[in-house]
Amino acid sequence: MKNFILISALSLSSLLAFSAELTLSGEASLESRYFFNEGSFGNTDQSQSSIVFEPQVRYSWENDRKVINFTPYMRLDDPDEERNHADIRELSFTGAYGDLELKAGISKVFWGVTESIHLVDVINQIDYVDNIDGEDRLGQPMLNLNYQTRLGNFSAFVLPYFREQTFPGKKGRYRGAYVVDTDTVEYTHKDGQNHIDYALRWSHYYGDLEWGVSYFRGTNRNPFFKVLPTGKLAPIYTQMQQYSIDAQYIVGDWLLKTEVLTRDSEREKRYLSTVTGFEYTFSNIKQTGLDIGVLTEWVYDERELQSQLGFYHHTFFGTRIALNDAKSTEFLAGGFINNQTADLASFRVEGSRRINENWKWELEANLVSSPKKNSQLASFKNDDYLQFKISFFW
Amino acid sequence: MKKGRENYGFQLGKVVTKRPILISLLAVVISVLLGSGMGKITMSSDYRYFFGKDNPQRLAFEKLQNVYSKDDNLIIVLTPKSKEVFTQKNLKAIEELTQAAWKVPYSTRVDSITNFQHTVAIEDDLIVRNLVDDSTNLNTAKLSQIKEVALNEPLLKNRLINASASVTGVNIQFNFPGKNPMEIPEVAQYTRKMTKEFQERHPQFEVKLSGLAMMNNAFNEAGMNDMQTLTPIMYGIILFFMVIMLRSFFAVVATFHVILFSVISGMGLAGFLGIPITPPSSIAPTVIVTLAIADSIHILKGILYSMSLGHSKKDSIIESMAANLRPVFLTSFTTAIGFLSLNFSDTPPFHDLGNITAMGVTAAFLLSITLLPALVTVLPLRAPKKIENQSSLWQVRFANFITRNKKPVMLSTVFVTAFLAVQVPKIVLNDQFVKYFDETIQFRTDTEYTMKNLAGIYQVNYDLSSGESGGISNPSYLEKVEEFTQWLRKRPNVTHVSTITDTFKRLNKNMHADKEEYYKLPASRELSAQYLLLYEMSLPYGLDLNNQIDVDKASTRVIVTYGDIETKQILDYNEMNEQWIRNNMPKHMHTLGSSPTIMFSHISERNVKSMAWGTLLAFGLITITLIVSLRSWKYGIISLLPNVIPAIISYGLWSLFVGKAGFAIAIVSSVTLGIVVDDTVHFLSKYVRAIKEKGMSPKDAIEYAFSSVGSALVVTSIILTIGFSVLIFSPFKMNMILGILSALTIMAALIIDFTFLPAVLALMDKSEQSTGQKGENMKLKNALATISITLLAIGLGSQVKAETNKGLWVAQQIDKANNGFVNQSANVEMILLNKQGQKSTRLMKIKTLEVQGDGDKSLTTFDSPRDVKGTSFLSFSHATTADDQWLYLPALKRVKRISSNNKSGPFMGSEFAYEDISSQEIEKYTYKYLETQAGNHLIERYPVDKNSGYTKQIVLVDGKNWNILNIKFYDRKDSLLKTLVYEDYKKYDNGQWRADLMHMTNHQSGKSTKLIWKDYQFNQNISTRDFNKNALKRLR
Repeated sequence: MKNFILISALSLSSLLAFSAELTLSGEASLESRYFFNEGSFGNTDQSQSSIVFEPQVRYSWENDRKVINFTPYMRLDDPDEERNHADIRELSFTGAYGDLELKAGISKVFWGVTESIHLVDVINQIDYVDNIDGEDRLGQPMLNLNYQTRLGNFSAFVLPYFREQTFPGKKGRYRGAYVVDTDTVEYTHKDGQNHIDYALRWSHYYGDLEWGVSYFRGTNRNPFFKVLPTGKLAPIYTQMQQYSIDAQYIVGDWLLKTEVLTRDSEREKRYLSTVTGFEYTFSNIKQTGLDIGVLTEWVYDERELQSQLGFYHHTFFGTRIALNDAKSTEFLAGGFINNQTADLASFRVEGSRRINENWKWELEANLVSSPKKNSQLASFKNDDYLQFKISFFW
Repeated sequence: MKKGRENYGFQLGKVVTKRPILISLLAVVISVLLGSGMGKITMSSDYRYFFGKDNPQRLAFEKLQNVYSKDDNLIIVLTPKSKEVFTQKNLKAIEELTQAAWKVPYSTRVDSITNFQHTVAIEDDLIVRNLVDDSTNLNTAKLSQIKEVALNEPLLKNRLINASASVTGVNIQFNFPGKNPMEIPEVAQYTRKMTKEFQERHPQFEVKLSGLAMMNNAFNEAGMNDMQTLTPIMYGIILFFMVIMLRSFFAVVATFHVILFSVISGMGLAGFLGIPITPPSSIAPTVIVTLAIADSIHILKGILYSMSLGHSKKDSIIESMAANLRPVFLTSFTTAIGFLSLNFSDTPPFHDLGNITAMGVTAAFLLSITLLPALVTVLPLRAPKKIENQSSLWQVRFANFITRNKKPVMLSTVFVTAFLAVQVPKIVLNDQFVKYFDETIQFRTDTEYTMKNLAGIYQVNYDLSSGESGGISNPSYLEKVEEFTQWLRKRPNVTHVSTITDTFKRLNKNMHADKEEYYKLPASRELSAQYLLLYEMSLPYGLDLNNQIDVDKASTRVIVTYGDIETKQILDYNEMNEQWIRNNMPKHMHTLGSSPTIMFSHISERNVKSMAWGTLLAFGLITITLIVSLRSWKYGIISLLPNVIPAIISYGLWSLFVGKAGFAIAIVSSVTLGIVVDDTVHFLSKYVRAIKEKGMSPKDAIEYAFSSVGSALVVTSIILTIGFSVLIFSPFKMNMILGILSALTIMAALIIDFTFLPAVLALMDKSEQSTGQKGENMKLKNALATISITLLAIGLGSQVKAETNKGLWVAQQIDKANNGFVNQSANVEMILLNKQGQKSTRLMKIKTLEVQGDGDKSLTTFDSPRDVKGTSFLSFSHATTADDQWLYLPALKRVKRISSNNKSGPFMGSEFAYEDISSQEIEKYTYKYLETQAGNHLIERYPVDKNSGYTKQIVLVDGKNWNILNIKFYDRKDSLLKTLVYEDYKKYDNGQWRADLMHMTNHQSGKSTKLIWKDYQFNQNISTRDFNKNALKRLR
C-alpha cells in the first residue's frame, strides 16, 4: 500500500513536471421548443423543455501530446422521458508518440466534408433525441491508432461495444405512428452489443485537394425495425461492410465536396449513396467582414424510400451568413428539395449570437413542408417547431 | 471669317466674348483663391533637403549623427588687426565671446582657444581647466605659455587657431529641433547681432561667420534673393518686349494680367501643397513668366493680325482662339511634361521646381484662353495697321537656301553635333557647395577665408568601431586609429585631423609628470580607461567627449578636414582612405566616409543617373504626343532629332568653354525639352499641313512653313532665351548654370529647327517620292526605331528599379532578425473595443514553428470566450502559393479545411484580418523604400495576392533591431483603413525581439483590437508533429 501511494505520488508529480494543464469547462443550457401543431400520434404536447448539462475535464501534458478527456452528458426533458438520458461523450486517453497516436476510451470521431448530411461519418451513433439534425453523437468506446506519414494519416479502429440509437418516447416528437421500444433490441450477430467492429481510414491532402478513404466492418448504425406485439417497434441491428470516399477540393472561393459510400448490409441490397456539391463563399463583402456562403448538395441514395435518412433524391440548398463580428453572429438556413416533385421537403433555420464571455443564445426552426406521401418525413409533418436555447459556458 | 473652324477653340471663343466680365471675374477670383496659398509658402533652410530621404549618403551621415553629437555648427572667425591673437586684450575678448556664444539659440557646445580643456599634472593629480583661466591676470610669460600649448595642441591647431596665431575661431555646435523653418535664420540673425555688438566693443577684430548653420542660412538667403531680385528684372524685361512687339498698351495690360495671375496661381498652389522654397525652386516664378508670355503672345498676335485684316474684334478673338487653342494646349502640355519629369531627380528641390512650374504653366494656359480673350474683349483695343503676312523676302530666301543645300546643311549639323557630343562626357562634375553661391553672398567669402586660414567645412567622418563596449581603450584599437590619423596627416590637402588618440597621448603625458617622451598612447587598456574616466569627470558641462566618442565607448570618429579642393578629388581621397582602412584595419573597424561634403560630392552623379530615366520618359511621352498630334509616325519620330540635338549642342559648348558643372546640369535637358519641342511642333505642323492638306511639294511646304511660323518662332525663342538668361543674375550658381544652359539650348533649338529639320524633311520626302517602295522601308525603320527606343527606356527603367529595391532589403533584414526562433509559444489576450468603448476579450494560445525555406506553421487555440473554447486554427503559410488552413470545431470533433482566399476577413470578429496574423513571408509582398525617419525605415509593401484586402501597407521599421514599429493598411480603395502599432518590444534570451502589445485601430469603423502577448517561450520541445490534424483534434 505504501508503495502504491509512493508510486502514484511519483507518477503524479512526474505528470505535473511536464507542464501539465488541467482545464475544467463545460456547458449548461436550457432549451425550449414550441411545436406549431399537436403531434399526429397522440404526442399532443406543444411545448417541450430540456436542461442539458455537459461539463468537461481536460488534462494534458507534454505540450498537448498526452491528453485525458472526460465529458459526461446529461439531458432532462419534459415531457419526453426517452429524452431524459445521460451519456459519456468522452472518457479517453490520447497520446502521441512520435508519428504514432494512440487513443483509448470513449470518444468521438468525425469523418467527412459535406454539410447537409454526414454520410460517411460512421463511427459514432447518432443521438437522435438530442437533435434530429444528426450532428449530435453518442460516445463510442474505441481503441484507435493513428500513424502519420508523408503519405498521409493511417488510422485503425477497434470498436468493442455498440451504442444503440436513441429514439423519442411516447410523448416525444419526430417519431412514426409506432413508438420505438429501446428495451427490446435485436442483433443479427450472436455477439450482440459486444460485437467488435473494425474500421480503417487513410486521409491525406495534396495542395488544395483533401481526401479520405475509409472502410468499416461491423454493426450497422442504422437499425431496421419490426413491429412487436405490444404495438411498439423493435430496432434490429444488422452487420454491414462499408467503403467510402470523401474529398474536398478548394478552387479559390469554391469548395467542391463529395462523399460516396457503398454499403453492404444484411436485410437490404448493397447500395450506393452520395452527397456531392459545392460551397461558395462571398467573403468579406464590401470589407465589412460579412461572409455569405451558399451551398448546394445533391443527396442520392439508391434505396430511395427505404433510406433511413429521409432524403434520397433531394437537393439541398443552403446559406451560411456570418457577420464575423465580436459576438460571432451567425445565421444558417437550408432546405431539401425533392428532385422528382420539386417540392420543398424540409427546411431549417438557425441563428446564434454570443451575449458575453459566457452566455450565448441560439434560435432554431425546423419545418417539414411538403414531404412525399409514405416517406419517413411524412410522419413528421406536424412536428414543425421553433426552439430557443440559451447556454452558459464556463 | 474662315469657315470650318467650329472646334473647341471656336466655341470657347464665343463663350468668352459673350460673357467677358463674368469670365474675367471668375478667372481672377479663382487665381486669387489659389494665390491665397502664397501666405503659406515657407523657405527651406536645410541643406539636407537637397537630398532625397533615401539618399544613401544622407542615410549614412544621419546614422553617424545619431551616434555622436550633431555636426550642425557655426564658426565665428576672428582676425585681430595686430595679426597676433595671444594678447591679453584679445584673449579677454575671446573669452567674453565664448561666454556669449552659449546663449545663441539651440547651441549645445561652444569651443574656443580660451575654454579648451587644458590638462596638466600636478604630482599625481590631473588638473583639467580652461586654457585661458583668468584673462584679467595674464603676464607675458603666461601668454607665451598659452600660445605654446595652443599651437602644439592638434585639437586646436589649424582648427581654432592657425599656425601663425593670427586667426582664431569660436565654434558653436547646435542641435536644431527641426520643427520650424525659421530656426536657422533665427540663429544666423542672433549670431550676426551678437558679433556686431562684439565688434563694436572690440574693434580690433575682423569677424567672419562660417559653418554648416551659416551654409543653411545661405541657401535660405539665396532663395529669397532670387525671388526678390530676379522677378522684378524679369517683369521689366517683359514689359519692354511686349511694348515693342505688341505696340498696344491694352494688349500689354491683358498679357501682364495673365502672367501675374499665372505666377500667383502656381506659387499659391505651391503654398497649399506645402512646397518649401529653396534656391532651385525660387526661380519657378521667372520660368512661369517666361512660359506664360509665349502662350499669350500666340493668341494676341492672332487677334491683332485678324483685326488688322479688318475683322471685328469679337470675330478676331474667336478666330484666333480657333486657330491657336490646339497649338497652345500642345505646347503647354509638352512643357508641363518636361518639367514634371524633374520628379525623377534625386534632389527634392528640383521636384519642387518642376511641380511649381508645371502648375504655373497649366494656369498660364488656362488663363491665356479665358482671361486673356475676355480682357481683350472688354479693353478698348485698337486695330493695328495692316500687318504684312505675305512671305517676306528673307524667309523665302532662307528656305530656298536650305532646300538647295540640304545635304551640306545636314552633314555639317551631324558633324557639329557629333563633335559636341564627344565633348559632353568631358564635363567635370564639381559640387563644392561653398561655390554654389557667388561672391555677393557673405557666406561664400567668409567660408573661403576660413578655409584658407583655419579648417574649412569640407570634412569627412570615419566612424571606427572597436566592436565591443568600452573597446576604445583597447591599445591595439587605439594603435590602429593612431596609425590612420598619422597616415591622414601626411595626405595632401588635409588641413586638420581630429582624433581621440591625441587626447589619449596628452593624458598619458600628463600622467607621467608631463614628460615629453610619454606623449604616446597609454600602454594598457586599464590605463587608457582610467585616464579617460578621470578626464571625463573633470570636464565641465557641455564640453564632454561625445563629439568624438559614442556613449557606449565602443567607437570613435576621425574627422578629416580638407582645404579648398574639388569634389571629385574629395571622392578620390575618400576612396583611398576607405581602401586604407580595409587594407590595414580589422573587419569591425571597416567604415565608409560620410559628411555633407560626401553627400554633395555624389549629388551630381546621382542626379544624372536618376534624371536619365526621367528625361527619357519625357522624350517618350513628348514624342508620342507629337505622333498623335501630327497624326504621323514618320514626322513624330523625325521630331526627335531637333529635340535631342539642341541639348547635345549646349552641353557640348558648355564642356568646351566652361568645363565644370554642378548637379543642375542633370535637369537642363528635361527643362528645355518641353520648351524646344514647341518650335518643332509649330514648324512640323505647318509643314505637314502643307504636304497633306495643300498637296505641296516638300520644297514648297518648307517655304510655306518658314513664312507662316518663321518670325513667330524667332520672337518666342528670343523671349525664352532672355527669360532664362535672367537667371544669370541669380547668386545661386546652380540657377545660373541652369539659366545659361537653357538659354543656349533654346537658341540651338531655333537654329536646328531652321536648318537641320527642313534639310532632313527635304531629303526624306524627296527620296520617298522617288520610290514608293522606300516608303514601306521607312515605315519599317520607324517601327524599329520606336521599338529600340522603347527597349532602351525599359532597360534604363529596370536599372533604376534595381537601385530602388532598398525596400526589399529592409524586408529581408526584418526576416533575418526574426529568423532562428525555431519555435515559440505564447498566450495572447485579445481585447476588442468597439466605437462605444465596449470591450470583449478573447484568450488564445499561439504556437508557431519556423520552417526553413517556406512559411511558418502556426496553431492557434481559443480558450475564451468559452463557447469557442478549443476551437483551433492550423495554418501552413507558404511563401509563394496559397496557405493551407484548417479549422477545428471541437463540439463536432470536426477538422474543416478552409479556403485561404478569405484572408481579408476578420479574425474572430477582431480588427485583425487573417492575413494580418499569418506569417509575413518576404515573397508575399513587393516593396518600395520610402524614407528614413530618425534612423528608422519607412517602406511601402504591396501584397502580391489579389485576394488581399489591401492595396498597400506602409511599414515603419526600427533601423537598429529591425522590428516593425507600425503598419498602416490601405484598403482596396487606397484609403487608410487601419493602423497597427507594435509596442513594448522586449528582447528575449535567444536574441529575439517580440512586441508585447499589438494595437490595431480601424480608422473607418472606429473599432480597435489589442493583442497582449504573454508568456513567450522559445525553442520548446515541439516539432512539425505537433502541427497536424491529429494534433489539432487533441486540443479538445
